[in-house]
Amino acid sequence: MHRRSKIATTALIAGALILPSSVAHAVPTSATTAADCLADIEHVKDTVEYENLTAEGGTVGFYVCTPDSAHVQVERDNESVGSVSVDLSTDEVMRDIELKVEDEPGPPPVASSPSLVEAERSAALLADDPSPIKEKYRQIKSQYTESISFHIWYGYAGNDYPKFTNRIKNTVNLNIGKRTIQDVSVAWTSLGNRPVAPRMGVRLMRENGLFPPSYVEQVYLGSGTGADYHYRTSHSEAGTLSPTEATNNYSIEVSYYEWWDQNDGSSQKLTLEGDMGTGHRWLCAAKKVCKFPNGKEAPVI
Amino acid sequence: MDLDQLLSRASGARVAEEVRALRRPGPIEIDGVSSSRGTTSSFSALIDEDRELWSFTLNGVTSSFANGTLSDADGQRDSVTFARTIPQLVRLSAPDRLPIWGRGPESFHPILIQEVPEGSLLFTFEHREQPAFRTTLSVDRSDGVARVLVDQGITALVHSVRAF
Repeated sequence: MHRRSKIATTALIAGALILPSSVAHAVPTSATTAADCLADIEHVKDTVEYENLTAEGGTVGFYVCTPDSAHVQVERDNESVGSVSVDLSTDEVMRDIELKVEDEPGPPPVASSPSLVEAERSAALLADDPSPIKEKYRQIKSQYTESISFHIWYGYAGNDYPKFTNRIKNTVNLNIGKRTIQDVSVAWTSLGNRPVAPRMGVRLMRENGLFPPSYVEQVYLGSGTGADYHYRTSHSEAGTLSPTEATNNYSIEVSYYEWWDQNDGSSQKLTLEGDMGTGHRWLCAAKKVCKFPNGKEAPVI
Repeated sequence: MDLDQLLSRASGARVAEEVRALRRPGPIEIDGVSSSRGTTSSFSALIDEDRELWSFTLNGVTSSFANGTLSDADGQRDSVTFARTIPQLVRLSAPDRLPIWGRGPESFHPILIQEVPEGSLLFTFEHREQPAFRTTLSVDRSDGVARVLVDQGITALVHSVRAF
């Protein structure tokens, strides 16, 4: 049986310079706490690529940990000079990493948001929290519902490592109790109480039996749109996915994640492209509502 | 149109635009048969892109999108858009709207275009993760409407096309 391979490209983007890809490494660990994230960053700093980037001076700028990977942006004189990433999955799938750096105006701040200093203090406490949290899971909750959850750790080092760190908990809820258009919603919480503005892409994939799934469509959800688009510490947003065939198996994957963070007064966007979470197969049959048969994943064929 | 030569994924979006250019303006109605999971069904479809409406009848059951509202077996919904709700078989009337041209995250992309008898273009698409996994589509050069789709999930034949 073919199972979707880990996404081959994971990109971390932080603020207008696009840099070439770097080589990825596989190491046998993964972040389960913010402290582990910092340990994973040390793996990145052990790589030849990191040493090459910092040979003429340079320090860690933004860093990001996902359940499967760690990414470090290297900057010199406050300008990004490149990035290095490691794959933390146990199957040692190699990833090509692309890092972009750009300053963006970002969404407007919310007046009631806690100050950055306060948020950083909370985030520092978070970094010391050793509680092991299973940060990525998927669960069929009924014949018609499924949840996917994953955490993103990130921070900024600069000359003061770490200057801040934060963790965003994300949950994708799928409700497939329809014949055609299915409901999907996302919810996120900035556990470090740092105001952020995330947005994620949820892809609908058609299952193809022994062959790999194929893309049907994608919806972006997370921080609202238009006037509703603000920095927050938590938010949820609902949308839909549109299977185009009445009879087939489908699944979803969270394959894109971007978020804005205000660092030293400037809004910066960070972006991850990769497999943040893949759901179970569900079945759509003619003239019936779609479902996870008996609350289980639909068979391959 | 680059015939009889291997195409790269990067050329997919351009090929889709060339296919779109074959289409005539105005509403298009098609009739055909499809086979999926061993079941053969007759279908008819109407699409009017200017008015953002479509109608689709499969085995006598009709769904439609008009005036910003989707009407189907689940009832009515207005929180959806025209482009995202078009059923796959309706997209045979506008084949550039099928998600197989290698645009952005689309899994399939065209690798070969051939001229086949009776004025059609035969497109072969390859899955980017498994090159042995292929889909084929024939499009009539005279109207830009698909006549045959052979896919993993479905096989469809269009036998009647009416333009208004």
